[in-house]
Amino acid sequence: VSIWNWLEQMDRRIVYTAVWIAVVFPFIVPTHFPISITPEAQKLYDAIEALPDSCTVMVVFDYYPSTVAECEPMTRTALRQFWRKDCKVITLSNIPLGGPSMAEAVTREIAPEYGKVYGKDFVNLGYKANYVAVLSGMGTSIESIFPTDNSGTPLSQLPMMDSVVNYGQISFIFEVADNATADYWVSIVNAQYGVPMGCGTTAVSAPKYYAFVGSGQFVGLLGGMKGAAEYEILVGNRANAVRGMGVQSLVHLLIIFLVILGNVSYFITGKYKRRIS
Amino acid sequence: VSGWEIFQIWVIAFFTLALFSFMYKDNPLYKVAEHIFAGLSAGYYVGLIWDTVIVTQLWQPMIGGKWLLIIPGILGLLMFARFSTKYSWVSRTSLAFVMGVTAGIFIVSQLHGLVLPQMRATMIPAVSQLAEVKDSYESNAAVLRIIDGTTDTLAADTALTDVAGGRDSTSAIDSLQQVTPPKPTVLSDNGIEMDAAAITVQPDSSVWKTGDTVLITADFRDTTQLGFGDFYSGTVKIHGDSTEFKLANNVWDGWNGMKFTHLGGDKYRMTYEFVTQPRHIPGDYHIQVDIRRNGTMFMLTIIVIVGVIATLIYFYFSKEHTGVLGVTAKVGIWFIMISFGAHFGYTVMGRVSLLIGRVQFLIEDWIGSFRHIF
Repeated sequence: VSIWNWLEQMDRRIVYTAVWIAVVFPFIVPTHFPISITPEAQKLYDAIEALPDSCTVMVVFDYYPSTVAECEPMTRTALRQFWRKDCKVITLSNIPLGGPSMAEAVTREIAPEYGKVYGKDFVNLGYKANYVAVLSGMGTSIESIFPTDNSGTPLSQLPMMDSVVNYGQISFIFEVADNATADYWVSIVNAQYGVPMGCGTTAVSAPKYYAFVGSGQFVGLLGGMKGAAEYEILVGNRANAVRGMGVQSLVHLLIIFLVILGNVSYFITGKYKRRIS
Repeated sequence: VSGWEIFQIWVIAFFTLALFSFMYKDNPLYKVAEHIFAGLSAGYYVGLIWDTVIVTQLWQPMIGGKWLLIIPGILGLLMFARFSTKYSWVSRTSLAFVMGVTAGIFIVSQLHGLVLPQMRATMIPAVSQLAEVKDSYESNAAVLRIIDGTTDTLAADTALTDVAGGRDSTSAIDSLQQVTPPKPTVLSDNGIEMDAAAITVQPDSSVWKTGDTVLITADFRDTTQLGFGDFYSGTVKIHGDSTEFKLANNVWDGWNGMKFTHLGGDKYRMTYEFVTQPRHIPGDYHIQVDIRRNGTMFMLTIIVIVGVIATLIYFYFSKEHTGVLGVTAKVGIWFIMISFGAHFGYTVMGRVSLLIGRVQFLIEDWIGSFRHIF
């Protein structure tokens, strides 16, 4: 059996093992690849920088725990940029599993770095079922949809919410999503209430949402871990996404190599001819 | 790190490894992890809905006096009639209500939020920005007042003291005067320039009431002759200390009321009309005008147009794909394949990212916890 025939019949578990090695190796020997900044990430960063200081913004945790590796660096970095500008941050989630608790954990972890106090500088509204009704209803009154915050404290007891009634007081919404909720934020909130929006999304969803940047409905976009890494560089806080991109690049090189190898063996072993005949 | 946290890390690590064991082959450990995950998710979801919807938005308001909520409550209960063969028809009432509301919300939001903006963006030519200039006016003691038509809602607000005088009970923006403008930003050596006294506002030095039409004019020079396909666009913003509203963003000649006039030689004029709105928030404001010279990227625009039309034709099945229709559909397939390629590339990146996340947890948190134990 030639090496090419062996490659054609190779056990998929060998590929899995190779990918595992490529993922683990950079954690042992740090590997760095250059990360270029895309215009979409730059636009998002610039739009947030251009916001008035101390304005009120929303950071939406619309992602499941399964995509934390891609999405959490985005929310963490956004919180840093917003709090650097002294913005008031409202967090919420349309994802029942994990969204509210991740928002709670991330905000509580980063807030002390910027001296932010819960209720005064940030509020976690938590989760409410039926995102269409939630997004529409907040246009009239946030309190009617979220009478209490994630911990059950009435919004009337949170000083920050005194001056926030509906989207009219929200200067910017940063939606981080691993699903189609971003569509509804665009079609309901951005289109009907005119609130400027930026989006961070998983790599799988990114190609779809580039169209929203082109149409001006999103001011900018972060696509997957690469987008998160670009954003970390722009904000000046290199963390998990930047580290992950070293691994990412190495695994991509491996995959490109395997794709080339697979195609070469496909032609050399004559499978191509057999298929034609 | 507490003992409880270490226990949590080990539980997570166990389930992570149990799920990854499927890559070798299906096994009982994988099945256990899969079933526990499904059961936990369902239980957590039911508890969450019970607490955040049934209790806080139905039961508590109802016992607080909002008895009309009993109607959605009953409609919700009717959904359970589906479990009965005999009475399942009753649930159609609730379903009809849900479908009606959903259709009502979605038709408008999808059309105005997705279909029309995307169609518009497809038809707009791709452009590159060639040059930009900025200039601004600052209001002197400007107080933009919200007047609801009948009541001066802010008459008693002492925070709105008029610094330089001239505020009256119906003023909107008061007495705009130009202050020293920032140096115009020019993106290239051949950029456009705006004079120090470029922006004029009419009516100037007078009271702006809600509903007034205000004309903003900005004169500028452009020493570079407009090339074929080049055009001007602009943004007019009103800035305040804590708020800003864009009157017009990326508007081109003739779009959204913004006009560019050639005054002769290298002189041009931008004019923009706007009507003051009740939604404008009180505060001190200044006007900023950005003018840009853009070049049309014809090739990119043509590729987009050809791609959209060819792809749509590929999905047109009412006529056999032969002749011109067949060739166009084949071009459409190429565009679809390129799109799939982009999706595939991003999907690989996404899946690898998830693996990186788990490996990062296993190496840093789980293996890292060994030193606390051993």
